[in-house]
Amino acid sequence: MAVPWMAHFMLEQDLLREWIKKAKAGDPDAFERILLLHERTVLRFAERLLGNSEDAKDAAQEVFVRLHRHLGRFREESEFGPWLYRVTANVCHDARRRRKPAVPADEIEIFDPAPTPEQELTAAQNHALLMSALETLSEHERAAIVLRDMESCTTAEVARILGSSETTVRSQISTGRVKIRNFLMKKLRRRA
Amino acid sequence: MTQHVPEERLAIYVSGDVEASGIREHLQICERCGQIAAELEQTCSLLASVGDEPAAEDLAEVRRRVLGRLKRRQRPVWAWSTAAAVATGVALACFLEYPAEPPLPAAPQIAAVPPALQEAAAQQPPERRPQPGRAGPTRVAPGIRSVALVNQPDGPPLIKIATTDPRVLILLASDERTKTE
Repeated sequence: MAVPWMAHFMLEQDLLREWIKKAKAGDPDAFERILLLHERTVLRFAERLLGNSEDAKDAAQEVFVRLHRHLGRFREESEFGPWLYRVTANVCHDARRRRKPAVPADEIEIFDPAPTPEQELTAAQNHALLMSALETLSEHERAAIVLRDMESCTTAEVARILGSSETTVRSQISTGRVKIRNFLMKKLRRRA
Repeated sequence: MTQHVPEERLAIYVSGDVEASGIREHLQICERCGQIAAELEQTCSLLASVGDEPAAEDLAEVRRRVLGRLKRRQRPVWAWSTAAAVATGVALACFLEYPAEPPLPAAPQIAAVPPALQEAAAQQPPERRPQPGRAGPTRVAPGIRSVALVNQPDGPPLIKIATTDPRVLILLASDERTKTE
């Protein structure tokens, strides 16, 4: 099954097939190429799930070590992208359970020294606001929203990655969007 | 449609994940639902537009850590492979140093024994003679008798190779410490 939401995977399918074959045979250069090709996707996804880059780096490291360990199991390159997303989601889920509870999202204030009358937010403020909003979601809702709305996966692909039915994922996405919208409205009203 | 559309339904309507029949018409006449749908659309746009690509130095750090960790995992394997190759070499060297004993010359064939000698031989106590096929108490070329892995509490494990020559005991130690991950 193709993974159209990961354009670079599609473009690199032939190369990826070759690199996986070589990496399975123990070629460290081939594994490094696979790492270079996917590190951005994995680290970005981990940062979005965990909300900070330090935890995300630890998670990404663990994902690639697991990838190295399980390389021999891949039969088709098309399994590769969903597998990476799935393992990243699992590793991040474990990391969140281990770490101390974060500050409740409702208590997070957006630092905005000079808001404009139009209440336009800078890119950094947008990012901070959305990361806070994501914190209000459950684990499953967050993973579904990040995959669907930030990583541009289809609902079917999200369901496949998370190992859920499309109905379940659709419900998680709709609940997640409503929660984020409510959070954003509340914050913006407070600023106003 | 006279009732308001539930927010959760609007939330998947805005991305086309639900059949739009009835909802579109309702949004044209219901200001409240239209407002919520617009806000949900903005929420999706905001999520899609986040440009939070990882920093180059973070990517480099992850790469360095992954490759370093894999290298450390592989190193002990190499160390033990080298040790095993050395052990094999030492064992082979022992065999080459002590060539096997040359075969004993065949015993001369005796055509006939005088009767007097036959009687004398019958009265003698039986003598221990070498069994056919045995060369007797000759020196045996040393070989590997046993190989054992000896764990040391304060140091790296040793490979202990006992040879058939009791004077030769081979101990191999790896200078690499195995790191558990």
